[in-house]
Amino acid sequence: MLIGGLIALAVAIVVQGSQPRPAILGSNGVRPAEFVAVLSADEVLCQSDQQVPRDTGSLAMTIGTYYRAGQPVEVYLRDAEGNLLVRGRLRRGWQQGAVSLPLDRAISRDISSAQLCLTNRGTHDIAVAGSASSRGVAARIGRRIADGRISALYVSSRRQSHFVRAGRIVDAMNVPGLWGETAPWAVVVLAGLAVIAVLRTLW
Amino acid sequence: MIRPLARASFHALRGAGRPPRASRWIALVAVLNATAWGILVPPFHVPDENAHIAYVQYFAETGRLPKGGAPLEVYSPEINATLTAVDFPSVVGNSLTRVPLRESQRQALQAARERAPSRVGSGDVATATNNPPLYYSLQALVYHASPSDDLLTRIGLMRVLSALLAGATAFFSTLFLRELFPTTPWAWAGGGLVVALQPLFGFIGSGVNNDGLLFCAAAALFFGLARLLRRGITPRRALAVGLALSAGALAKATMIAFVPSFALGFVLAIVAAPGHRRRSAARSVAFGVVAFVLPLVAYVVMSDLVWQRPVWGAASSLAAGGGAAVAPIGATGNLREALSYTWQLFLPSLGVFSPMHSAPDPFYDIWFRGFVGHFGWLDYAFPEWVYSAAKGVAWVVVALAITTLIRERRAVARRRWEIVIWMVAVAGLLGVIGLAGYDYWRTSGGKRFEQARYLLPLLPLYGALVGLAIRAGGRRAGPLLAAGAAIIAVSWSMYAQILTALRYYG
Repeated sequence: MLIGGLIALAVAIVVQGSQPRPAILGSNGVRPAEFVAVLSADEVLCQSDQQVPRDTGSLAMTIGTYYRAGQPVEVYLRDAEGNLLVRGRLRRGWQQGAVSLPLDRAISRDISSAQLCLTNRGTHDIAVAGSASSRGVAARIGRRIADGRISALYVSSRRQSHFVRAGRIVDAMNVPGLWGETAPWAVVVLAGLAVIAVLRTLW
Repeated sequence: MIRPLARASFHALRGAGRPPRASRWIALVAVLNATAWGILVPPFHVPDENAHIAYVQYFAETGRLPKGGAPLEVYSPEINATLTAVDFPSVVGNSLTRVPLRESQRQALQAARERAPSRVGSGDVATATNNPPLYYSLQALVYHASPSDDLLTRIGLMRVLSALLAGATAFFSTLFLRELFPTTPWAWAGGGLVVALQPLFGFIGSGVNNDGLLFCAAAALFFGLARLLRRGITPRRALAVGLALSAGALAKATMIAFVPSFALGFVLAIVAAPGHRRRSAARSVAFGVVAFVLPLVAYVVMSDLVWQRPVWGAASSLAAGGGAAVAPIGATGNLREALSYTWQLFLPSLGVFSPMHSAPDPFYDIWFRGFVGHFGWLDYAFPEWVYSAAKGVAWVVVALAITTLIRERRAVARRRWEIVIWMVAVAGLLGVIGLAGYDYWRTSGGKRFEQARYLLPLLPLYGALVGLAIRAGGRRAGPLLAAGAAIIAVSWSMYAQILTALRYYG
């Protein structure tokens, strides 16, 4: 029974792990706690110091429209030198709240210091959420400084299963310290040994 | 007095013979599991770990115990630089934020190291400042024994010591269960396994946190008391119980919650002794009391004369909570209100008390759900269906345990005073949690700090509940129930670890 149960558990992990899901690759660490910037028509909002993960295909942001239907919004990502990396566009008709902003193409490499800009191409104001208390340089609207940093999540261009994302997990776990690059494998080995010890206990 | 005490200490340390093989396997399960948790959870992401690491570092670097006080800067510059380099402020408390990718984290850590920040802070280590020093003294040895002076390597090694303490907790819990169910090995082994694999225990027990030594000492105390009550009191057994209580109290002041059950256990041990052995039983009790009191007296004297710091600071810091002294409306600090707060923290108000908690059902919302799993700095949890399923499983476990108690009511009646001791231990811990919580609630303007991890000193009784349920299966179905409990425990633990990997790295 015990072995049967453990096999069922392994099957459940494989089935669940292989289900494709939209994957959040990273965030800029800012919570959408309040609206920190209001953009009038054609105004441009820019937030520096963004770490954009490879494979990012869309951004998730919290944008308010004052209960109107959403109007066109453009988004740009530039590198530290100001070169345009990718742009994206949100067509009219979107709903306010958590909004997905698709990029024209996926980001091909990790960008460590990008600038994220948003242009209001509509005729009505929009409000962008972030945090006033978050540490770092606040966003800017032209020469004006916003009330805080804006919040952004970087979402994968593909729906991915957890197994496909395992590479990202392995990469992020490889941090300096006692276990270093062995960390992800050590977890797997220790968990396996623990299961063997469970079997040994009851046998 | 000193010579017999020393002789008894020697025998207590030698132990009482070889422990059963299954208990050693269960200890190994807990060590492996907690080590896996310790690698999986990024540094500082076990609750208050930054404060506990700061305590260890300050003690290891200066040989002095921390002494807080505004407006000192908390932690050392090295810890603060490392917290920033691993982007701790952005990741903690925000389940959508992941730890930085390898290269950016490596660069940030390298830059922090090149600045060679000092390892000695002001001595203010925030919430850990007033804790007793035993756990931190052990970790300071690990800190010094580290082959590298890199902080993250040292944290990794400290977490290994925590994993060993988790193993010791599971080991003592299993021995406690063996005392309760000596004739049904599948019951005590099954109960021991669910303790070893409990996800919240694995998560908290893997981190640098004095809770680890508290859990271990509490499990040792439960085992020691059970042994003493069932096999009779001897100087060695009494001494072991006294040392367990004292070690726990020198790890975290919460351990004082078990003083009433400790005292009651000793009284019962004397009463249960045959008339002609009462004198020697009383002498054994004296050993136990001295073993408990002596280290604490030494700590009190040292705190006052050498370290000049508050003695039971942990309790006072919990009570003060660092919050502003703003009392909520109607909070007068009277006994009835304190009792009302504590009662409603765990039980329905029954219309007797006016509601004091924002959670509609604190027992379910704080304690049950928290025990099933609420991880990180309370920033991620299982999907909702897991809690519903856990509720169903819990009802089955309770029903089976009640079946055993009814079926074995004669044995239960014979052991009624022993059961009273365990109930006193539960009431003591809930009372300490409730009163500390009430004081914090009252002085902080209605904030709450209660978390399910504060119940983990009762892990041996959790194992006992599962053991009782398994015993309901008798000789035929009992081993199957034990296997079922093990499968659930493994699945629950693995799911929690996968959830953790996805939360921080996915």
